[in-house]
Amino acid sequence: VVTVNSRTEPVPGRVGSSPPRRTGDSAAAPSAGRPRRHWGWLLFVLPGLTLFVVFEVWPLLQAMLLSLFRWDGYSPSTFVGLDNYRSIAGDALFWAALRHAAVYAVGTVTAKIVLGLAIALLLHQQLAGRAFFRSVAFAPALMSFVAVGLLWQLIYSPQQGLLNSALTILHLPSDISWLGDPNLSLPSLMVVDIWKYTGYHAILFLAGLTIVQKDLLEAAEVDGASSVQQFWHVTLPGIRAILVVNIVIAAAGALNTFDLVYVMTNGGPYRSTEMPITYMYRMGFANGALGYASAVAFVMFVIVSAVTLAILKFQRSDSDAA
Amino acid sequence: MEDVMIRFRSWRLVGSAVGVAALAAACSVTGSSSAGPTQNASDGEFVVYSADAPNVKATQDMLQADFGNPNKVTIKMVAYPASDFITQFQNAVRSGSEVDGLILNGQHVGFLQSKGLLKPIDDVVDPSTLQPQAIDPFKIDGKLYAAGIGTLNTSMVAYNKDIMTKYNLVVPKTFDDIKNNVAKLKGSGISLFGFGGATTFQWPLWFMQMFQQTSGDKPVETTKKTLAGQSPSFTDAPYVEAMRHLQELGASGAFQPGLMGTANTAAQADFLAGKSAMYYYGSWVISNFVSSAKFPVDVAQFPAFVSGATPRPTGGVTGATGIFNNTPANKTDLARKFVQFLTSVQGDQKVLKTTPQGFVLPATKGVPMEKQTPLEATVQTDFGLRSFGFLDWLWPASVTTAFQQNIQAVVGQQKSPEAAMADIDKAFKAG
Repeated sequence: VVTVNSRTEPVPGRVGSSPPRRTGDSAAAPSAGRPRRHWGWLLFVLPGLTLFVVFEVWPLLQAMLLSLFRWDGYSPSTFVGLDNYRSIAGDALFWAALRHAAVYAVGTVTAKIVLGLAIALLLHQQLAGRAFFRSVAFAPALMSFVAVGLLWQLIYSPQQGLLNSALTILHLPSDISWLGDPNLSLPSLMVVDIWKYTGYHAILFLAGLTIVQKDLLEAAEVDGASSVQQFWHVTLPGIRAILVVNIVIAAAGALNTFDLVYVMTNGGPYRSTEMPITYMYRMGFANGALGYASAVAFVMFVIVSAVTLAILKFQRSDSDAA
Repeated sequence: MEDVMIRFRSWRLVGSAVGVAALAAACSVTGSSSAGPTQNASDGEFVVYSADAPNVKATQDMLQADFGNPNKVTIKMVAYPASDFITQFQNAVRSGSEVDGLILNGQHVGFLQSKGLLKPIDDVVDPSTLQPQAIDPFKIDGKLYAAGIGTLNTSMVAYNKDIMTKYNLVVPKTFDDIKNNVAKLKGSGISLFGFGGATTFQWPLWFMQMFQQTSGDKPVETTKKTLAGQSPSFTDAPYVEAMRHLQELGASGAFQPGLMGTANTAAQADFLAGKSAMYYYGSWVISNFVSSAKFPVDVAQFPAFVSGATPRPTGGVTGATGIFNNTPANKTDLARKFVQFLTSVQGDQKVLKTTPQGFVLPATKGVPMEKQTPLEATVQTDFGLRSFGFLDWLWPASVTTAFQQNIQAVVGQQKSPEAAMADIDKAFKAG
């Protein structure tokens, strides 16, 4: 048992798995009187904590407060209480943007996770040129979204684009406006996002696959488990934590999508690719409604936090059940 | 119990910290609510905020040589791209940075004036020395808040003369001419008009041309009335009719396939590749066509969509200068001299030499021209000097955004003219 006033030492036989501390453990302290406190840890935490407070907590508080004001950035601000939030509740454009983000998130997260895992499984095999293919898979993630956006604009170009040219060669309908048709523009953006980040998720999965114990796989094979059964009952449970990290990263990124939309469609055509963050930007910096934009930002902070917590909670309850 | 107390103290500590942070943040929010006095740069420095980032070095050198040295000050340039200028300038104002001189994009003037950041300059500049297009857009409520510098911009239809001849097209003067040309080009793989429909900020130019005709050639006056809450409102006939003409144009097949998925750069490349016969846009783009196309290019006026109307181009100036409201008192005189220098014949001549221009159509009267092509001379008289001011320099930002998105929807047959104008009216009333 590790108590509050004892130094944490590795427990013999349980290296790297110190039991969790509970506040109530202090009651079990062998010495009488107040538990001794050690503040040395604060020195180590302080630099990171300071950065976190200055660059995360402080702007968050600023945004939260600003969301209670009407302010254009120049004129005196006016306190409006929760008016900005009430306006958001009745703002059809915001809800449409949120709907687009939900579709985008579900589509891209699903595709990136499934494809990423498939690529990781492939690259985990003993293939010739494995290191090269790993680099190739990861390369799009290193490119800036602006460059990727411009590149794909050319690919999608209705007049001289690669995609329509390829369709022409295949004698398929090629008069398609990928980014100009409101029914196709959002899926077209999703394809770009999937293309860019699937390799990134594959590399994360690859890291996870290296910790799956080989002896378990061998035991399963000896027991007559098929490849699918090995994957389903041994590999997948073994990389559950990495899977959750991947989903959280992909979901948070999808809900906060900005640069790709800004570069490729700027929310159009006819607002069919408007996302909450592009809407927030438009309201704040094009329309000069900084208070309203802050309220949108704060609503999105709450939504993304809730989604992340829900995923983590689901993972925990799943682990507990297992 | 002690554990409970420790937890209570911890929470009290956290609570206090959050409280202090919230209070400080509140002070910060309210404290940044208005432009205060600016911080002083050194007396020997003159800080110029410029919305002309690409030419900042050349402009700084020119200003240092021709304005800084005679006045014994060092020019310090703070330049941002025009598209980012308002955001960055806002940060500078909030942080109390010193601003002594301004080189603005014309579209910024109305916004900055509405925020009380510009001083009237009626007693600084003699309007009669500048072209009306360099003065009129900056007269607000009877006072002059900025003056145009550089060159006049205007709008026009450029056309590929080879395609016109090959397909026996006419330079369109009416909507019927457009429809006839579209019929002649059918099956050729060439569209009549190339345009970057995905680049939404370009669409208002088309609306302005239509509105000039539906408002009885009073686009600026009518817009000012609407913005003042007088008749007509945005949902009234001149506006709805202008949108209807755009809807008809979109339905006529005049534009290239995939219009709304084409960015402006791609559309311009298509025109230069001979995939469209005509291109309507500003002189700053058309001048590039004239100089770089591998086929002969000529220019024409926008066609008449309203029977009996005489179309006029829309335009403005490349840049504008004014006086910041919070320039330190010891530099106010220099700020006035700065405006006078840039709007003088010598100053405009220097600006024109420094800044790469499209067609050279000086904003200041009497600027001697070393070289002006016959086409430039025609463009200056027939287009530049006949132009009415860009309407999006008058519209509030939220209205401009609404116009951009709704015009796109109307041309794309996604929305009726009435619904589009109702949406714009709603954006205007929401403020």
